Amino acid sequence: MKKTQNKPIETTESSAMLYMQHSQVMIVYTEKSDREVWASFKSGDEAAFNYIYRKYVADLFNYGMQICKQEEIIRDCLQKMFIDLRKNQAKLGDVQRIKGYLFTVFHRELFKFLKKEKKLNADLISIDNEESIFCIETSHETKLIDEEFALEKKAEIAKALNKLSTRQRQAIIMLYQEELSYKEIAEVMNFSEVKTARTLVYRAMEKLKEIFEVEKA
Amino acid sequence: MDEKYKYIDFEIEDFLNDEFFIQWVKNPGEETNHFWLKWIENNPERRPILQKSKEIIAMIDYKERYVLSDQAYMDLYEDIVEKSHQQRADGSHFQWSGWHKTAAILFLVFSTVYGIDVLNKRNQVESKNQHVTTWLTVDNPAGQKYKFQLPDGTRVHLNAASSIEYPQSFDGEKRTVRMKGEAFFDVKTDPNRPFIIEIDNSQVTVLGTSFNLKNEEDFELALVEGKVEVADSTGGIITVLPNEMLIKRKNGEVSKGAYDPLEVFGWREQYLIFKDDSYPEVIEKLEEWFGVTIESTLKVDKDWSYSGQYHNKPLNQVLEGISISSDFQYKINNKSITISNP
Repeated sequence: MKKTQNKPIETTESSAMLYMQHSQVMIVYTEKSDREVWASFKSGDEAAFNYIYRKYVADLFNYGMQICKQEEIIRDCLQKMFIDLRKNQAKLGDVQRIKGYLFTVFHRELFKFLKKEKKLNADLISIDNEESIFCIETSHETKLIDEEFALEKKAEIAKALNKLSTRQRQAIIMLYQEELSYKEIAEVMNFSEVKTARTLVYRAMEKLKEIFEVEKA
Repeated sequence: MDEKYKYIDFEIEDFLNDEFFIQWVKNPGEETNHFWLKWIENNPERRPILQKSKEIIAMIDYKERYVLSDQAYMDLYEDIVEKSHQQRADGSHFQWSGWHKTAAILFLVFSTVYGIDVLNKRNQVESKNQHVTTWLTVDNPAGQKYKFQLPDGTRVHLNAASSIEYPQSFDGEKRTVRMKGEAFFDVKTDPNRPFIIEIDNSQVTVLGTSFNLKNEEDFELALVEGKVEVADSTGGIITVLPNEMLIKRKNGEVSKGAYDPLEVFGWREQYLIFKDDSYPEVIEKLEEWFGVTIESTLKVDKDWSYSGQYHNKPLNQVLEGISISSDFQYKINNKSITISNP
């Protein structure tokens, strides 16, 4: 995995330390369900907003950058989204899972912006068939953890995954890496039916079936 | 359909599509662990398919991960708070206006401390004289792991709360090192100079191989490839072959058998694994992994045990996970944790 700067928030020991330093505030919220945190945010609790920002901004930023590799744009869209949420906080609905909700809102915000900009600026990418979007890697040097797949095999799997359509890759990565449910993926990708998201992943994996099944040498 | 029978005809692509299965792989909990371990037990012939599916789900990652810099993280936060205040203008949240700045400053300070800490550790290799050979020591405090190479090119990944001593250069006919705690060795092949690890009552001799060695209360050696000979103080020799793990318990019991790679090697990839661990074992693992001290007044049953795996998760999330199934309360205060009955 290529790291562009330091490590992402949430995944390093330093951020574990950071969490501890904010212990009092953070504990209050980590013990609560998403639903409760969201309710606190809606009632104007600034600490709840701080918690939400801290917890999700890194993933949202990374997600946006997969689609459009211009940091400025992604930051502007994040800013706009969070400001809008705060402005309308009292009017917002209930939310069961904050992450899925933020991904949906952010995705919408970003595409709205990209569509508008594309009219003005023809260089901006076309999202539907772009090979460089949502590229997948078969991660870490898991050589030792895994029993079934050799390194070469993993490279082969990665290659096959990256030949899938952008939408399939996006759904796969959101399902396994972002841990969103099919329902949430359908919402983010703007499918009217959950089944569409499910089928997208299933078809993709069926294509790769032969690669998975060949026994190791 | 009964869950037990639902999965019987599942192929890889079916598992890869199943949310209940994915949930287990990514965030195993008491309930999912119970179900899937039982399922594997009842359908041993399906284990390879399940294992493959598990691996595929776990290995898929972004090819490039983009990271918001600390500066951008803070600027963005300040902008959001400031601009939404201007727009809201009701003033009722003004009391909080200093909070985000405190958060921002804390963020910088702790990133820096962490950075220095890492640098310090790299310099912590101190020398000490012993006969003619200069011996070096690498001593990891709790909460920190370290990867480095020995003079012969052998690669060592030292776990937290572990130490290793080795000579500045391997001059003799043998390459001898001493260790405590846990480390992964990828030994540079040299048929003429065996690589020997001296530990309290045993001696591990290898030529060129990779394996994980844990020398704590119990002695555990898990081999990936090559061949390892373990000699105890009485001269008895046990040979360990690939995919085998040798366990010598404190009470003298010795056993050899297969092992779960994730359980043994997971620590190297930031997997914190609990498998039927007793309460003291869980506490010890947490203390070593995160470099914290834990005070506990929790009363636990005799048969209390915990299983679960956490990948790259901060302490609060791990405690949260354990507390859910074990029903306890915890408080985090810097590096001191207290656990008590709810």
